[in-house]
Order: sequence, then structure tokens, then C-alpha cells
Amino acid sequence: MAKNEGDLLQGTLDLLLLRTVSLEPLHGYGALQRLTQITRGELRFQAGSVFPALYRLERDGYLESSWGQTENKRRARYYRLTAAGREKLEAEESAWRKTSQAIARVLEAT
Amino acid sequence: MRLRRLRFLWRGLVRRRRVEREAAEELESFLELAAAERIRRGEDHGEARRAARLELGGLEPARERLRNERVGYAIETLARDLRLAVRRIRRQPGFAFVALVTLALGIGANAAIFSTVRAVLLSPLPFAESERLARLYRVAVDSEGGRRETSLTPVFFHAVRQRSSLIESMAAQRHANLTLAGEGDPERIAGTRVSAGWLETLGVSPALGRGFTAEEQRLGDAARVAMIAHGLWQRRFAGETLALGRPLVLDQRTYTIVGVLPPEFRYPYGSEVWIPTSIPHGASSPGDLNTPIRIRNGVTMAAAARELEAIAAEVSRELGRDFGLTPRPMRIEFQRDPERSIALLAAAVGCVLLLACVNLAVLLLARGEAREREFALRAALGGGRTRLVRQLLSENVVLATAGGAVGLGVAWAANRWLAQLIPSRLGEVVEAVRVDGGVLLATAGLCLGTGVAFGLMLALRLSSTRPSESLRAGGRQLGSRAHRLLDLLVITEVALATVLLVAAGLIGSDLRRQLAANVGYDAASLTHFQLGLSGDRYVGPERRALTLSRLVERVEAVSGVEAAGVTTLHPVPGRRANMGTVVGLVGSIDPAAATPVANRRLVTPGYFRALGLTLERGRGFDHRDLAGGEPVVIINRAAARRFWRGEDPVGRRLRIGPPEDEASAWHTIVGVVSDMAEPYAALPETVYQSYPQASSSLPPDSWITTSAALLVRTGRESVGLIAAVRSAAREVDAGLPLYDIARVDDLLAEPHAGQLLGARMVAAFGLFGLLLAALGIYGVLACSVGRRLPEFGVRLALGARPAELRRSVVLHGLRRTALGLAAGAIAALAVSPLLGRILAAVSPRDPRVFAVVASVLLAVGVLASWLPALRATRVDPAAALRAE
Repeated sequence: MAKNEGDLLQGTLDLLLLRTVSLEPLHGYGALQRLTQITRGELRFQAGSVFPALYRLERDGYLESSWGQTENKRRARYYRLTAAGREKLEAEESAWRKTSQAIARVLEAT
Repeated sequence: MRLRRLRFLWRGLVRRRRVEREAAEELESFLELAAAERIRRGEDHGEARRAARLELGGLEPARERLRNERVGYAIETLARDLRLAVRRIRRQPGFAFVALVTLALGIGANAAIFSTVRAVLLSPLPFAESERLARLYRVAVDSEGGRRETSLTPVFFHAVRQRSSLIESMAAQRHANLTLAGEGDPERIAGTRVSAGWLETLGVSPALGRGFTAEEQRLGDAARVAMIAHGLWQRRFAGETLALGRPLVLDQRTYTIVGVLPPEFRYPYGSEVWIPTSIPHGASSPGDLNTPIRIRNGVTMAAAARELEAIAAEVSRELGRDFGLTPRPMRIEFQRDPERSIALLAAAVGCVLLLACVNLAVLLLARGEAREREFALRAALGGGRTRLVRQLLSENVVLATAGGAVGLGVAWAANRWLAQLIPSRLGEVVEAVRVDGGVLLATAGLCLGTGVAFGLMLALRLSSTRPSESLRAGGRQLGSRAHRLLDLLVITEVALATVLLVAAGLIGSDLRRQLAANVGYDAASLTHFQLGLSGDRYVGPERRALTLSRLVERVEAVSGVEAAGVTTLHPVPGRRANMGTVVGLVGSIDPAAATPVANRRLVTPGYFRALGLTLERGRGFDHRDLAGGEPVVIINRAAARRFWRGEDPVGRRLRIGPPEDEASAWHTIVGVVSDMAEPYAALPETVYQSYPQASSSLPPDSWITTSAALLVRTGRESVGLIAAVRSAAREVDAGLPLYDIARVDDLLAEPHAGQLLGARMVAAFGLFGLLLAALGIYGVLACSVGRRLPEFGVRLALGARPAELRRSVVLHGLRRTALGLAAGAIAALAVSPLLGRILAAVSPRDPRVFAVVASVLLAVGVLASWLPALRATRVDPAAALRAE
């Protein structure tokens, strides 16, 4: 459980957020829930760092937001992936895969 | 992408409230959703809510983090920080004032002085390729082997012209004072008669019109053409192009203007009109040719000098008298000899800059110490370290900016004032001195950089102290190391100021010594008025003599005037030099002197007394010595020694004029008077004649009778003297022009103009240094006292006498001053070899200067300590105890 987000972790958070939002538009709480769900509780992110990350992603043009209503008729801000976001996601995914493969090779070699 | 960011920026700044609201809403909705989820899972409402908030990490921190991400937030916080900073600074007016003054002096004054001197020293000469230009001097060797530099005679001029192969071109200039008539008042202006090739030699072209043709040069004055200066063109002809071809009336003769010279060109010094002249061959006098030469491309000045010496040797052989020829590079002529002066200047600037920076550091440290408690409190209340540092920094930035602005203003204002300090001799080409942008930037950068750097250092230190410690111990824990640093800084300041003041003192007294260097007469409280006795008004010698004697009478009646006398050709630098007149002698003559030559002066009886020359033998001139009376002369000691070695010359006779001239009368020597320095003449021997007597025997418009100066000695600084003399002159003759009015010691100082500028600037630096050091002492003591107020309160309450407290504070300051003084004195002694190289008449270890500087600094130290000392005693004991 990461207590403070270093650069590596922050970049990872961005990637994960992009991924979760790519499946369907989510609000902040929803994204957090989805992440916890998918990772089966292995990765927990501080809620306080999710919102700044979402803002950054929107600022950089990978997400766009709009206000909508939850099932319980509450107002919430929903984020969805933009075309640029989709490209970014693909790029980040392939980069991540390459990195993890390289690390795996190193670990196997020694 | 950029557009998107810009849009966000816009929203962040302009739609700030809306963005904040939405962010709050978003976070709030998160909390609701999280709480709802928990409630669904069975948690209590209140618990759920609290847990949700914990999950978020606290609402406010989350909002803060989101806010930090917001584009444009940085700007907003910056704006807020700056506003807060301004408010905080206004609450510490004393500190702010001292800091601003420091910056103003450090940046503004430094930049201004440096720009001024640099402009003067590095300003280009108004000639093309001026490195090839030099002024040629003829060196006369007197009987004691002393060398005197003087102008050329036609013989030498033509000899050099014919025989030199290294000189590309040369010309001759002759000074002429002329009365300009026409529309408006008649003016007395300086003019120059120039020989052929003058413009080419100097490498100058007229801005308008043309130079002189070969034919006009051949005709000389008879061609009746002239070139005028740009200033004159503006003044008299309103800058119209049609001025070309217009008439110019000089000394009742009409000349046609053929050219206008470029702006700011007034070479030789002050000249406003140039008239062609030709230099006849074979004449041995007058020796008043100012000769600029241009050496060939690729030739060094040293090689040219050697060739000239050889030519001089040849001519000397032909003349039978020893002369030399030496070129002086035009740069040095114009006193733009930068190397030495710039080094000195840079050192002085460096010192003051260092002082200013140290002062700033002292202020910030001292101030910071006082605020340690405040910052400990803020840290304890949860201000993040970045925040605190940023706040402190913003204060410094505000101060720095304000200081920079003040510095700029000071630089601009000082600049105009400093331009007046430039001795006029040097200012002849430098008309507009602008503040050097580069220098301003450099000094500003240094000072502000120091301020910000020290502020940052301080901020980091303050924000890292454990709040509990500081709060507990009453906030005095900045550490003894910082205290020692403060002390060290103040001592450094005083030391630097000492060095500056010692340098200023040495240079100043050196210059004073040089200027007072024996001119043989008392130049102080002597005022010089040149009289314009030429033209139709004063045609007859009787008329002139009468005018002069009445003038002297009137002037001597003015209150405060001790004596007044008239002379032709008072030796004033830059003006026409004395030319020797051949003297025919009877009696024992020094056989080594082939042709006795002496300076000749026509004077009125009161002249010797006015100058303070002593009569060593015989009598002065009096009522007997008028036109028609027995021809008499007075000679000076040098002449007596040279021409009548070991004998009493009184009663001997001499004849003035070439020996072949049988018609000239024999004059009887009636007195011997002490010597006067003739730095611009070739000879130390002088023959004086009575003006009324001699002028009647000379040709009516001979220059020697028309060029007369009135010298007035006053008891003290007589403020209204000039006005009084003017009105006396008006009573005698309303149309008599008086010009070149100046104190004689100022006139004598003119050739030292460069040194004078340097001395004044170093003195200014010394003053700044003193001020800054005083501020430093004050600042440190003020803060130290402020810190110890409770202690003083307790002591007062326990019965200590205020005077004792005051004394302890003052002694504290005095001790620092004394230490700094000692350190500074040692430093000054250490650099004395360097200083010794620029001092000519004074030792770099002159104890008098050190003593004066020491007493000044100690006095200033006491003064600077006085205010804090007073503050220490004004403490209300009860309040102080309560605070503790």
C-alpha cells in the first residue's frame, strides 16, 4: 500500500484511471471503487490523490467531464475518455508491458 | 493542447469561484456516495460520514490538494502572498526604510557613478581612428635641465612637415578670442585659426557645407571665410540650412560661413569658430602652434616619437638651442586614460556593492531573528514549510522590487547631478551621460540577488526549527552562530567603509597637494576676469590704459577686495601660453644663453600685491610709470639669476625686442619680484612692464595689449564679488565685456580634471560606504536592543540608571565599530602599495588621513548606536516584565 505517491506511482495511477474510465464514464468515487474492485483490494489509492489526478488528466486533454446524475439522483461529475485519451492509454499500456517484461527478464536471469 | 490549458487558465483565474464551487461539489458528492455505500453496508450515519471523510483524507486537505493542481493557482497564491507581504512590510517601517536606502545606494548610486565615469573615460573621441592622433609638443630645456612642454613655432612645424616620413598629415591651430557681433548681444567667443589639412588630420567632416579650399588656406584670414560649431549654428542661426553663405561678424570683420561642424565637436576646447590661416616659413615666433598629428597606419607612436626626437635634434643644431619634440596621444590629451581610473573605480564600486549586500544580509538576519517566534507559531499552527518559505520569500521579493525601483530612480536622479560634477574640460565631448543599462542590471542583480539569497537561507532556517523549542524558550534560539555571523558582518561593513574612506582621503589630499603645488603665488581667493579690450571701442592705447586704471580703481573700492591688478596673459591652463620675447641686454650675461628670451607681461601697479608676489629688490610700478615717462621694467628672480648672475640688476638696462632693432628703447630695471610658475610657457624668466607706459609704445592692436585680465584678491570667499565687479565695470564703461570669470584655483585645477573627477567619485563612494556602515550598525543594534527589551525592562525595574543602559548599548556598538576600524585599517595598509601607485604627492600610509577617518567612523558609530540606546531606556518596565 503506497502511502505517498512517488512519480512512478503517480504515473501508474494516471494509467489505471484512464483504463477504468475507458470501459465506461465514471465519477471520482466510482473510479476509486472500480479500481479497488478490479485489483481485489491489492492496490488502494488515497481518495485525496484521485481527484487531482482526474483534474490533471482533464487539463491535459485525455479526459472530458460533464455533470450528471447518479442512480440515487445525486449530482456528480462524470469523466470519459477522449480520442487523445484513448491514444495515450494505448501508448502507456504498451510502454508498461515492455517495462514489466524487461523487469521479468532481469528477475529470471539472476 | 495549448488552447485547452489556456482555457483552463482562464477558468482558473477568472471563473475562480465557480471552479471552487464545482470542486467543492464534486468532493461533497464523493463524501455522500462513500457514506451512502457505508450506510448500505450497515454502518452508523455519523460513523459512515466520518469514515468517508477519513477515506478522503480530510475535506479541507483534499480541497487544498485539488486547488494546488488548478492551473493559475500559483499565480493566485503569488498575488495573495505579495499583498500580504506588502502589508507585513508596512508594519515594519524602520526595517523597510533601511533596506530601501541600502538598495538605493547600492544599486542606484553605484550604477550612476560608474556610468558617469565610464561614459567620460570610454567615450569615443570625435575623430576618426583616434589612436593614430597625437598632439605634438615642443620641449624646451632650461638651464637647469628641466623640461617644459610647449607649443610649436613655425620653424619646427615646417621642419617636421618636411622631414617626417612616419607622419601622414599634420596641421596647426592657433587660439583667437573674438567678439561676435550681429543680431543679439555681442558675444565673446573662442575661435581657432587652422592651417591647411586640419580637417583631414583630425578625421572630421563638416556636418553641413564644406571645409576650406586650398586657396582660402593660402589667403588665410583675408579669405574671410569661417566654419562654425554646431552649438553656435543652433544658437545664432536657429539651425537653418540657409546659414551657409550667411555673414558672420567677428571683431568688426565680416566672414562668410562655409561649413558647420558636427554636434558636440568643439576642439580645441571651447572653440566655436574656425578660420583658415597659413603658417609662414622661417618665422621663429610666435610659438603658439597647437599641432595635431596623425601618424601613418601601422606605425607605432613610439617609432614616431623616435623620429621626432631625431628631427628635433637637427633643428636644435640649426637654431643653436636645445629643444625636443614629443607626441602625446590624443586619448591622453583628452584625459581619457582609462586603465588606471577604471581599475580604481571598479574597486570602489565593488567595495560599496559588497557593503550594500552585507548590509542587506545583516538586516535580514537581524530581522529574521526577531520574527523567529512568529514563524514558530505559524509552523505549529499548520502552515506548510513551503508556504512559510514562500511567504518569507515574497516579502523579500517585494522589498527587492521596491528597492530596485528606488535604485533606478536614484540612478536616474544621481546621474543628472553627477553630470554636473564632470569637470567641464572632460565634458567637452560627453554631452549626455545616460545610465549604463548593463551596469544598472549588474548592480541590481547583485544586490537583489543577495537579498533574495539571504532571505531564502533565512526562510529555510526559520521554517526548519522545531516550533516547540522556539515557542518554549521565548523565541531566542536563532543560535549563537547566527549572532556571531551578524557581528562578523557588521565588522566587515565597518572595515570596508574604513578602506573606502581612507582611499578617498588619500586621493583627495593628494590632489589638493598637487594643485597647491607651488605656483609661486596665492591662488586661493583670487578671481580672474578676462577683459575684452579689442575692437573699435578701444583703439587708442591711452583709451585702454585709462579704462583699465579706472576699472582697477573702482574695483579696489568694492568692499572685501584687498587688491586688484591687471595683467596681460595670466598663465591659466588651456589658454594661450606665454611666448617668449627676445630681450636685448646690457651688462654681464650668462654666456651659455645664446639669445636671452623672457616672457613679457604688462601690468598695473596693484598686480603684484593682488597675486601675492613679493618685491625682493627695488620698487614696484607707481604713478611715475606712465606714457612718456622714463621707460622702466621689473624682472623676476629667475631672470635676475639668469641674466645678472651674482649682481644686483636694479639700475641695469635692457632692451625689449630683437637686438637688431635699434629703435627700441632702453629700459631701466627698477625692481626684482619673486617667481611665479609659468607651466604653459617655455621660460621661467619674466619681464614686467607698466601697462600705461608700454602700451603706448606698442602697435595699437598688438595682441599683448588687447588681451588683458583683471585679477582680484578678496579677503574671504566673497559671494557678491562677481556682481560687484560687473557693476564697477559698467560704471567705467558700459560696453566692456567681462568673460572667462573663474576662481584661479579652479582654473589651475582644469588640467587635473580627470583626477578631479576620480577624486570626487571616490569621495562619493566613501560617503556611501560610511552611510551604509552606519545603517548596518544601527540595524544590528536596533534588533539586538529589540530582542533584549524584556531584559532592559527588568534592569530598569530593579533600579538601573537609564544612563548606564544607554552607555552599555552605545559601548556595544562602539566596540563593533572599533573592531571594524582596526580591521579596515589593516586592510588599507595592506593595499597601500596599490594605492601608492596612483598617489603622487602623498604617502599611502599618511597618518593624518587614518586619524581623521578613525575619528569620523567612531563618531558615526556612536551616532548610529544612539537611537537604539534611547529605545532601550524608554522601555516601560512593567510592560516588559509582563511580556516575559
